[in-house]
Amino acid sequence: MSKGTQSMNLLKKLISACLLNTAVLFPAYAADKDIDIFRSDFVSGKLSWSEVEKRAREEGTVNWFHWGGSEQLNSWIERVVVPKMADKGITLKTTRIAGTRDAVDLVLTELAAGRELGHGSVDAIWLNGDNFYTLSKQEALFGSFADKVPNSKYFEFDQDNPRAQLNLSDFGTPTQAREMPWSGEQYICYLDSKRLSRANAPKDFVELEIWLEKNPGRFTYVKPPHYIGNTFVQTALYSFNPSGQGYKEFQRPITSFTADEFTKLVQPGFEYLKRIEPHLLGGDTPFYPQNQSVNQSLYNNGEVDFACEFGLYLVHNNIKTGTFSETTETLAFPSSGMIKNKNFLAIPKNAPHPAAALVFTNVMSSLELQISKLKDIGYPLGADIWKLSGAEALAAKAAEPALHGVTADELGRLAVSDTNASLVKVIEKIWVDYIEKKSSLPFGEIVAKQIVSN
Amino acid sequence: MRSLSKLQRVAIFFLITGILGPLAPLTIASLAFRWGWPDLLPSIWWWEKRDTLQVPLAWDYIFDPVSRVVPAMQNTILIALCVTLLALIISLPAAKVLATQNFKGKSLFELFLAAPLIVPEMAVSLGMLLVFLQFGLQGNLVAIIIAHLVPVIPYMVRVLTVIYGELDKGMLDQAALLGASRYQIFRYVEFPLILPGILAAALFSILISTNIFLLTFYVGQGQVDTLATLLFSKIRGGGALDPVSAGLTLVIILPGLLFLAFTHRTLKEEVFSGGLNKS
Amino acid sequence: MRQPHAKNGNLKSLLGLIPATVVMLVFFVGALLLCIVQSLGYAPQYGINQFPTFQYYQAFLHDDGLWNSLGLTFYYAVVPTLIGAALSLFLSVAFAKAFKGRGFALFVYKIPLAVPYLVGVSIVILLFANGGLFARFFYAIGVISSPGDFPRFLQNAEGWGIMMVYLWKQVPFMTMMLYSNLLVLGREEEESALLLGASSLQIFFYVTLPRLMPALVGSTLIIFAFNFGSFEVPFILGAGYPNTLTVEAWRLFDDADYARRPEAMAIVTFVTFVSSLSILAYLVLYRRFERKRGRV
Repeated sequence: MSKGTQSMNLLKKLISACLLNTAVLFPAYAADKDIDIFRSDFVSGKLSWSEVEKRAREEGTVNWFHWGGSEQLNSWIERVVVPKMADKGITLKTTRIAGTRDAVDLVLTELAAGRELGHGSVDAIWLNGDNFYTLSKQEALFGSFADKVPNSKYFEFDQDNPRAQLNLSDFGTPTQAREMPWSGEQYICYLDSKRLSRANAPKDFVELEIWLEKNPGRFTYVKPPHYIGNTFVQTALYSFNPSGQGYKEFQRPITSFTADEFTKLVQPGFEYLKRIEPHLLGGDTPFYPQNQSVNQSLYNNGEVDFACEFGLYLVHNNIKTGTFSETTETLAFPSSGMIKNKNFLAIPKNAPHPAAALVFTNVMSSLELQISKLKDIGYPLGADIWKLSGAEALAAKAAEPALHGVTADELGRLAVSDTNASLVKVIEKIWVDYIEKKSSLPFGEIVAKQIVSN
Repeated sequence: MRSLSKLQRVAIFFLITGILGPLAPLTIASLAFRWGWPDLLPSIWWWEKRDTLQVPLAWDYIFDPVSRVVPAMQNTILIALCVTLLALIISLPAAKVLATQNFKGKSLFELFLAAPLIVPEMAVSLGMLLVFLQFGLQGNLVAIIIAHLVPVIPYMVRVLTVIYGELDKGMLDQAALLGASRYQIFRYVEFPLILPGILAAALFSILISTNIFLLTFYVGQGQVDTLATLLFSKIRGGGALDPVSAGLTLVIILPGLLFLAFTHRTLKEEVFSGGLNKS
Repeated sequence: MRQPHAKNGNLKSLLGLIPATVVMLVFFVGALLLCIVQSLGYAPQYGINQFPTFQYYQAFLHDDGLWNSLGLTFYYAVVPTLIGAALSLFLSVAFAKAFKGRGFALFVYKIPLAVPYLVGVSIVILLFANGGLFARFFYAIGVISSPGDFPRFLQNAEGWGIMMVYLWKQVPFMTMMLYSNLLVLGREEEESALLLGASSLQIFFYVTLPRLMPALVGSTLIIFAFNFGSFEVPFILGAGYPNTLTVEAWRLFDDADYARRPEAMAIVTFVTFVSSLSILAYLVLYRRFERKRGRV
């Protein structure tokens, strides 16, 4: 061993000694035996639901971490969910976080500090996509529960039914019932019928290009890496998929592609985005809003004629709160496929009140709350409409807010799956390199670089 | 003393307008229901829609317990008070030594104490989060209070050093000659003499603590709301200012204004001179 | 002032320094050390243990976006510091004079000191967005015909919105620092210069400014350092990309992939390093300038 490596090792040792390991400061929390038994009994179906509810009452509290940026949602939770949980003898404590990431961080930090089963501080998280992928990769989830709570009857979990896809796969990560589908969303566009008539609005990406040439500067999209921007780019890539299969290839993980294959798949779409760039808002110095909030103000100020983001009932909700003009309508764009996904409630492995968390997810997926959420704040059903009885389905239909200019059938027909989470990362980086940074490399090399660096 | 030139008058006018002027549109924005382009005033006011909707809007939301503005305000005040008290306890002895003693490496030590003023907030915040993660202390009030000490102590030590520097040592010596105990000297002579300085330093510390966002955001891990973090989560998108954001902005300005009004006389500019000359 | 020198045996008199030193060592120096250690590849909590490695520095130093971001960071830091310093000098001299409503002015100018930067952000959004009040006003009087005609101040790399917020908060701060020095320094020198027949411009440049120099350097230093490392203002009002190094660090720290966190730490370490270096250069230049003028 050379002197260099010796001193290096010494340095390493010194640093490890200096950095107080939390395990030294705090006694390692032994995994709670009792909770371990409860978990395996529940997952294997040995426990009756009334036993779970009884235990939940003893636990008494559930800590839910959710994105707290919507006043409507926050009020609805306090007004509707908190009393419902109180009926079950459980106090619902909510932590409003600016990004779901904070809750995931907390769980992983606690686990890393040895706070195992029963010793965490998070009972349930509202999440999807990346955040679920992270928890799943770190094995930080409670287990398969979603298909075992009583209200799972409203959800399709049948592996053989193709319609179950939205419940079984979250951005390409198999959910394995480790999260409860709670709400859904679809990517839509909205226009002001006073400024742009529905008949003149583009219906797909080809028409958009022609429309933009006639109306330069009247449209833009949110920039990746924001997820709203990523989704727009994905939709364009689907539309120009050379195989004509649309979203299909985009369900595969990145590891199943060679750089060449992936280049062939996405090049036409990216070239299209490059081509329309000079006709977007700002022209020679194109302006891509950072997020949907800025995009909405561009739309409200009349700088663009239509804009796109997630939100099946966005138009309804925003007219209601005064954000959008009364003449705003939903636009089904593009006809090549509008991305739809669900969002979920997950229970972390070290949840301190696992039974209460189970009861919570069951309450949240009850038809009563599903319908109340749909009606009061315009958050789409997480439940699958075909799993409801005739009367239930009618009640759900009756609760649907107005779609403003499109029909549910039309939107349902155009719905396509979201892109695999591992592809999304590569796609956003290609966009930043190719469009934002205007990289001078040939397209194939940009793709190869991003695939390798991933 | 000579009077103001025309240009100076214009400059002061712009300064005052630039500070007080925005309060009017902020108030209007907080009372709007719909205020679309190109209206100079809202087309629909909040009170016109107030009764027709089940969801609380604008000020109704802010005053509703659901908005959690009140707990955030309590947190903000509690943190500021604890930080100030702790910082005083820590800074007073240090300031006394710096004002009365000469020792080897004194200027180096002063530089060390001033360092938090010039190290980027982002580096301190992320690093501090790592420190608290090591101790398993992140995400609670205690962590935030400790974190705020770092930007507060440098200012406090400087202000108090100036005060101690001006302290009449003769009076303390006299008291000692007259046989007063150390405690008595502190309680009856030293403390009353430095009290105005302590007050000014405390007020300044409260100002700094209530202004901090990034440290609170990282060390609090999104679990402790203060007024600043509430406003951040409302306006982080950077789109048009909605009524709740406008109202929240006013809610944050108000305590600051009241605070200034009450302390205007104590927070004398003279206190801050000198403190910076040494850098 | 005559100060007794602490002798070696008299270390007891220095005990008062201990509490402050301990807090600063653990929570400030410790924080920075952890940043550095993690940036060098020691982050076992994310399964990274390659200490020491420079790969995380290389990762962003080789990125072509770095120089762009570094340039922007300097630009957003330096421009408002210079403009703010000029405005504050002017205002502080004005404040030292007698005028009607002086008490009111001296109260109002402190308000921005009492509120977070985010309040400034709210105000700038309300007034200077393309659909904001100024754009509406110019539309109403027929100067512009659509919001797009109004110059873009927010969410682009030019960053005027960012700098406006900085100025709104920092002109009062610098004015306060300078004005308080003016108060303490007194006006005798100015008055004797006046008696000798100097013009007011001459008095400002030859008497007032040199005396204010230490305070001016001190406050611009603090302001520059703050702007260089600030986060929330460029995060909300800057372009999503390119943006300052701190926002870039935030993006990496917030990435779903924990393995990118050491890179975020490498960036903040780099920011700290560049900022300290700039401040050092500034101080050296200032010393040299003072020496040339025969002071010090």
